[in-house]
Amino acid sequence: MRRDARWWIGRVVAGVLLGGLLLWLPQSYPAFRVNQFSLVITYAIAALGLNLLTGFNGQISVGHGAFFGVGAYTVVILVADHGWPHFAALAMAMLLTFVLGLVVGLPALRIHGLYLALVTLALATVFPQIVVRFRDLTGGTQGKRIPRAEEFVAPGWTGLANDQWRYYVLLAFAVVAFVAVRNLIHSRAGRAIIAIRDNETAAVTLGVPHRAYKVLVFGVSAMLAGMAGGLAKFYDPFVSSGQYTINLSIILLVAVVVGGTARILGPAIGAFLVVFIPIWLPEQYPQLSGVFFGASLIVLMMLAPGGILGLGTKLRLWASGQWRSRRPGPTSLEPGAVASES
Amino acid sequence: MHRTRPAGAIIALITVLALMAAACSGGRDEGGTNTTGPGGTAGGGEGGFSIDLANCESYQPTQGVTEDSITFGSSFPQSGLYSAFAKISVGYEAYFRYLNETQGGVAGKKIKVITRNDEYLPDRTLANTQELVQKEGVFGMFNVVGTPNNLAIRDELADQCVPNLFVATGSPRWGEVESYPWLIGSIPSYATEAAIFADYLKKNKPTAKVAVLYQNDDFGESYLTAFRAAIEGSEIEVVKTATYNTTDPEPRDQITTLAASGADTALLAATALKCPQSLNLIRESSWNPLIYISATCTSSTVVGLAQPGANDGVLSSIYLKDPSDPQWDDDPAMQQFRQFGAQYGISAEDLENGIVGYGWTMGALLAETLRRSPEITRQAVMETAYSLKDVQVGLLLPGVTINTDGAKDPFPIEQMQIGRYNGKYWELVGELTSLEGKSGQFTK
Repeated sequence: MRRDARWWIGRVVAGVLLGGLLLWLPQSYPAFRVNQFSLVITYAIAALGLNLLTGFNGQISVGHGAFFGVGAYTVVILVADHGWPHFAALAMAMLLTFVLGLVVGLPALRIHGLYLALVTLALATVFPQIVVRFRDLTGGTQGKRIPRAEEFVAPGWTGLANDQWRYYVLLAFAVVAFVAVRNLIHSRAGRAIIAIRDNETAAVTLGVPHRAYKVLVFGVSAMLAGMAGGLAKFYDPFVSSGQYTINLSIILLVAVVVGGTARILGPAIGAFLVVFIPIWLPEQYPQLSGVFFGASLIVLMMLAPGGILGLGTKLRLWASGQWRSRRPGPTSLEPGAVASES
Repeated sequence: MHRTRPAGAIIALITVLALMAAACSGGRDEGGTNTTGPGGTAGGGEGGFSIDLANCESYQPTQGVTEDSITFGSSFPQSGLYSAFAKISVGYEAYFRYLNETQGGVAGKKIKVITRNDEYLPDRTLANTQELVQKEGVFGMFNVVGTPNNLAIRDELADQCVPNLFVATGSPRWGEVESYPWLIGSIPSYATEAAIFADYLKKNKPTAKVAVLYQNDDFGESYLTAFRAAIEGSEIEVVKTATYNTTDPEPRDQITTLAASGADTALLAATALKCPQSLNLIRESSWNPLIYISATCTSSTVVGLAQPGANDGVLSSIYLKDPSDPQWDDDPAMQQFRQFGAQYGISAEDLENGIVGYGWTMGALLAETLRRSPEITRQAVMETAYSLKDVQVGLLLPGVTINTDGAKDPFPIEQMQIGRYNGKYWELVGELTSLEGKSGQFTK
């Protein structure tokens, strides 16, 4: 279908507005709020990785919090104990989580659906215990911190406060990651990845090397989560065993689903919501915060079963009167086929 | 094939914009109003301890102080596994209400505390603290719960020269005053406690063979290290040690190993659920040692979880009057706690809870520190906290006085008495033991 002028204008306007907003945020908000935005960015990158795996490739992982944790610990240990520069440590964190992702991805060749979810669940549960077991390396329950003098700080020439600089650096990484994943999805490899999700047997018949793809996608997905964890240590230099539990894995999965499964920007919106919904909730009843959070997610999913971005599509279709007649095509980028994978 | 979706993108954008607008309020305000440059030290509290402001990134001496109030922030678990600690705030909030209403606070300023829930997660503690200091503009932090949680915030608060007063954890690391003069502890360090138990054994069981169960982290190791240091030169020996991880379901194997060692004394450097579990497991075995449990388990909500009989005669260290102990019925401090505590918001059930009594005592300690401070600035208050002399407040046991002197004597409470649990409350045994000014020597 030919893209008309309206499409381009919409794109450009949306892009400029969104870009301007993201660049303007740290100029306008105090440091603690900017740090919360930085947290959104790290969750968005991790959820982007998870979305690539779950949304586009149909492999469920409930263990991405562990990859996030590995990335975070790698950066803290290398910077704090071995004096590595932050970016080198981040590269190592990505390499390490990529390899770890490949290793975890191997059993995924034979295990599908819920069983795979269970394997990754084990990963999420075991990670905090491993941290405690290797206490000399990790700091255990007391945690480990990048010394104040070696924290990631804004260079003098920028004239920025540390929190602002960290936000912009994280944002740059996020933009690169999102563009890269978007391009991947729209490439030949991306179509193969989606074909495996929609009908693996058919994909194999058509000559898609499904094993290689599945393992590689697992690796890249884990690498993105590890990168997010490593980047988180650019603005929050502390790690401890209680931080990267199964809860984080679930939060990431929630971010993917709430934002819109198999949507490029879905994880970003989902990450924003999972960070800020608990902050908006009333402070008077802290014991109920989990209940409120859960309830708001249920309401959200009832209003927008396809995620926030799915809601956008739905509204547009409804406005143009096509809602009833819409059916997703077999190679659709949209969700819908995910859940029905055999 | 790509479909055109201009509306989708715009709707998404509008959603994000709306959410952003809802999420946030207020513009960025760089630099405080009353920032003074780093520099000289004003005369501090009553003692000789002084803090150099030269290392402060920005020093705002009176943030959070108004004509008639002074606001503190606190962060602790209010939901989740560790939410029992939230009971501490019940105690100090009632104390501050009582103080504000009956005496108008301290020096005409009412004490307020803004609390945030961190679910015991250090990164949440950090985010909460940043919000409390930057947005709520608190004077300082007060009674933040948890060792990792305080480790996560201590560097940042030190650099901004914001007081972190009377933290609710007993890590020996709170003695590092040279590097971290802006943090002060409250409860006796775990090392102090172990040394006091060693002292009890020297007097009452001088040839004890001790088996130690300890949590596999700094908390558990603090006990073991300090206990070993304290028994040096005596005939007491550690015959067997075993560790558990906080994630283990129960220390069954460990207790079996320790029971087989032939030890006649058990030191349980365990906390939370592992305390009653260990007591039950020992009860189930044929082992019958003299048992000491960590003071972190003395709350009736923890030690009371053991099976009937399993906690009988168990020892621990006590520094507060137990509200359940009838011997304090006529004690003025206890009567004040009961009467005003009930009047200012403590439920009948909570009045019996030792951890609420601790909160009440911490409230009184903060008020006393502010009272003694020559002026209400961050520097003066912190210097006063590290120069306290003979403070006897709240429900502290008779003879327990708070003395601090900077790096020479960083720990506020260093006197404890061995208590024996009788199924209802802790009966005091023997004499109060004082390690005043000596706690530091057991840390390594």
